[in-house]
Amino acid sequence: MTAIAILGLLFVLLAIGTPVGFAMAFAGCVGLLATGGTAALFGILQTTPLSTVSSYELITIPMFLLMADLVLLSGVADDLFKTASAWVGRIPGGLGMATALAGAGFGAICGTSTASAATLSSTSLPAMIRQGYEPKMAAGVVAISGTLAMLLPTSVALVLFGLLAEVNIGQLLISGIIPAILVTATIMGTIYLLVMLDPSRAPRGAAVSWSERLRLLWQVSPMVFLFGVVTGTIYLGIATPTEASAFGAFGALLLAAAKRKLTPASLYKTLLRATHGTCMITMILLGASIFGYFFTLSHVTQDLVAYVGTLPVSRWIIVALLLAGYIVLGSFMDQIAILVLTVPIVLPLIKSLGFDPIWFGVIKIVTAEVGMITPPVGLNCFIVARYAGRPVGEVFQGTFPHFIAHLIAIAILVAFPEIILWLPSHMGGH
Amino acid sequence: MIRRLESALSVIERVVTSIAVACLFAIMLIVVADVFMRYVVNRPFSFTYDLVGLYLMAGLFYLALSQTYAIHAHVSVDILVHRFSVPVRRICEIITSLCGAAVFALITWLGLNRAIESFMSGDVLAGAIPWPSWASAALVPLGCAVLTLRLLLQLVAHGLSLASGRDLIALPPLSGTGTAAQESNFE
Repeated sequence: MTAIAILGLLFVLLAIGTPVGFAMAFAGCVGLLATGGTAALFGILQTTPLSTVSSYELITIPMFLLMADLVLLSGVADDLFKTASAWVGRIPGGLGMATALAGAGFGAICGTSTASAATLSSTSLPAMIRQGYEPKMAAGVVAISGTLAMLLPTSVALVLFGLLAEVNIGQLLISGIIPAILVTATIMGTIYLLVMLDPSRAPRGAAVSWSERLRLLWQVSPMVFLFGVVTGTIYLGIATPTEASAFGAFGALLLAAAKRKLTPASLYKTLLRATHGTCMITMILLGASIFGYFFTLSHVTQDLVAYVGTLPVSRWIIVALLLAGYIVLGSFMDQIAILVLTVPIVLPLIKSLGFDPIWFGVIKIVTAEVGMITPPVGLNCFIVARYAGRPVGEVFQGTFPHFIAHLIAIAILVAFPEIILWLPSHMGGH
Repeated sequence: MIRRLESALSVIERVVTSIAVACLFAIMLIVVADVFMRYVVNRPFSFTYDLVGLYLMAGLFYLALSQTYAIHAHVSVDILVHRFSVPVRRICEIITSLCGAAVFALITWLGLNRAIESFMSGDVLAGAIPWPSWASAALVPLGCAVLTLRLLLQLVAHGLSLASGRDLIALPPLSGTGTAAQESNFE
């Protein structure tokens, strides 16, 4: 009964706009007071605030945020789209496909979907519109391509899942790579299909000479190198994800310096942005851990797992229901909030059903990608709409084909777990 | 009066946040240097883990906590708030500040006791280097105290705005309308 009342309190606070971390911390405190009295509350508030932040692996999040901001500062990311379009621009729907490739390329060094969508909006969107692309389609592909950042290594969302689920973060980051390639191919396939149905949507780009193509590729090579350093060292087991992320940030710092974009003022501004981002995410983790203690005391999770265990349905139906629930939640709630609210409850359930937590984590992130582009609060669509100066409704229409395609991609990932689990099983150091 | 208190608090926030920013930069440099020392010179630092985990990461988070709140960078779910009128939104802000102030005042008080206790008894960390543990513990009440002041200021300012009908303090921006989406979300 207490658990339901506390959950109610949490949802009321979230509804009135209390920041997620603060809402969870307050509801958790009230819950602890109700179940364990002041002794439990004081005990936990004395230790948790320091123990939550003093986790060495948590450093991965500020480092990934910093790395992406420094690469943006260097200006190298702006060339990604130009390079991709030089290579695939002549194919039907080529510029759209180039956007997906640039999204994957930028996502490989950028941890957040919104930052990635903002970068793509400022580079690839104007180019597609100039080329005579249907604005709806152009905006749609930009919004969906930004979400690839959540799935590729350096993903803040994956690290967060790893911290919450207490799984090996290195393996988790590596396991997103093949699904990200699959999703990129899905986006490109969807564009191809759309252009086949109506060629007027996407006029062809101009031919680019081979020497120009190679020159452009050389310009973006530092990003490929950065990605290689971070992912390669994790994959080979040379560095922990924490160390690799610090190296990535440091490499991005050198890149920004080499491009002469580094001034004391620009460096401070970049560091400050990453500091605020880290603080926001850590606050949610702190709230979640206080709330988590209350949940453990109240036995809600154990009871739920035991109850679902007795249900006479296939475990696949339970997974399908969970994923459908995630897509619905994702359409109106923030993805980080969904992760912290659900993972502590859903993960024990997934484990008790005999599924791999890493497999589930990656699929959860793909459903989160879908949440970023579904109305009413698909954040990427809002970002694209603002950059493009077009109505949000139009962007949502443009992402609809990708929404359908993503559902198919999710079904494939669910049906063939090897796509996710093969690569991490071949990592060095395990 | 409110505005003067606001600007005074902003100065404090700017000072502590600049320390947090320095912590972030130091984390990057120390971790990179540590790996370099381990692989190239084969002599890793013995202090990286404790220094980064207990001091720098705690500094990064706690010292930036209040400014992050002040610039509305803590993510919230504002789908319903969109439909509320300005007075209702002020009431929501008052409830939020009240709940937050209660939690963080308590954390400040407990944290302060803990820091004083470990200072008095001269606790050190059980590691290669005996760092004093009070310095790490003190970051919690320091950051939380500034945040508590910020929350109390918001509480009073929104209360007075509501009572007087004047706009003494701005409401948080809504997602999809202004800079909110870009500034506050890090998925």
